[in-house]
Amino acid sequence: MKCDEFQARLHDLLDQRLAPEDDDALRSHANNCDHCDHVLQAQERLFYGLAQFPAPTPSGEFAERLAASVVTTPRSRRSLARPLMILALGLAAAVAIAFLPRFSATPTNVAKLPPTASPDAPVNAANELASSTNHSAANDASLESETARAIGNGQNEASQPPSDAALAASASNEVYRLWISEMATRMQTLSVDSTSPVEELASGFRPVANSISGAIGALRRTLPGIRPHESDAAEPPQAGLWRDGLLPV
Amino acid sequence: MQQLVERFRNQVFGLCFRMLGQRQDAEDATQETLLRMLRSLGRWDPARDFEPWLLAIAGNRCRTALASRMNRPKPQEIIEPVADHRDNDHQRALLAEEVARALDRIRDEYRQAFLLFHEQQLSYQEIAAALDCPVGTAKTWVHRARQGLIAQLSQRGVVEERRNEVRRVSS
Repeated sequence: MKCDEFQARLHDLLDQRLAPEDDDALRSHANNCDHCDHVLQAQERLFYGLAQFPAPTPSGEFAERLAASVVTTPRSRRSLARPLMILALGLAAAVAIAFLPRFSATPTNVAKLPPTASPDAPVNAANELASSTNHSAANDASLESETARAIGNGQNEASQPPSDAALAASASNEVYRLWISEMATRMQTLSVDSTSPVEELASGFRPVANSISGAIGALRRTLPGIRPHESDAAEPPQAGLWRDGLLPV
Repeated sequence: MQQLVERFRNQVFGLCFRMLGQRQDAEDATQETLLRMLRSLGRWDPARDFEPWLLAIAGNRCRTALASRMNRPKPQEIIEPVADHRDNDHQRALLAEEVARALDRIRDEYRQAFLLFHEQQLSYQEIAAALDCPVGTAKTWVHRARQGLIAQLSQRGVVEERRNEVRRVSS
């Protein structure tokens, strides 16, 4: 046996919790090798000394202190943690209640979108076309009053879309149609009667009213049974005109 | 809860005392270990053995204590080589002191692995689980601990020169 084999076997025996000094092979090598003999004796002294360790036991005072801390510490921490958590949750709830209406409320300065046409509602194409140009064609009383209010406000007042109540009470597509028609009429009137200095605009710029009128026309064409005519035709985008060299850069 | 603490109190204290070498530090580490055990009891995986898990907590507490101790000035050590090895109580106590002193001088990982294997009688698998390392690493740490301890005891003259005595007698 060589010295490295002695070392390996020594650790193998110790790993199996066996006494190396009782192993014949190790003893045989140790009798001829001072170094390994020294190692064998040293390990024997090591484990003998380890066995002499007095079993360390905590003092009675420590045992009492430990028992007291085990009983009191977790509870005291829990009693502090729970009210703090409840307080934090309460504060969070109060903040949420205070600020939630601000975030959820509809802003007043945002234009209200027009009501959506219902595709399921049966629509008479002829009536649609007639009523789009004649506001008195509405049959429903509430619808009439709604339309009259919308039209009767005059040019200087902003047109209002039908209220939600009116929408609920009448056929939604009918109100939608009337609202768009009214807006189209208003924008045509504005483009004719406007005193704004449209002529003074530089070449390549068009009045905002024209753009809005085009948008209204596009909305109007979404109505079932409405045929597009020339007045509804939207102007081509200005970017395209510049791109094609039709307008000065 | 109280029974659980009493059941493992001495075992944890034994490891902490061996690791730290001072009663006061060992008591503090034991107290922290047992309190942590109680708080973390819900996170213990019942599929694992309880003892290695608990001793791993104790080992971590001891390493923390040793790290904080590094900042404290060490007391001046008086080195007294062991004179002889007569088999009486006093000599056994001296030998135990030498072993404790040697244990105090090896790396923390080696010492902990060595104590878990040879004193707490844990298997290498349990030590690896407790120290969160591969089994091979745990085995290496134990082997290196043994080598370091044997070397220190040899340097301190703890080993009996039986061979020389035999040679003297034979000559």
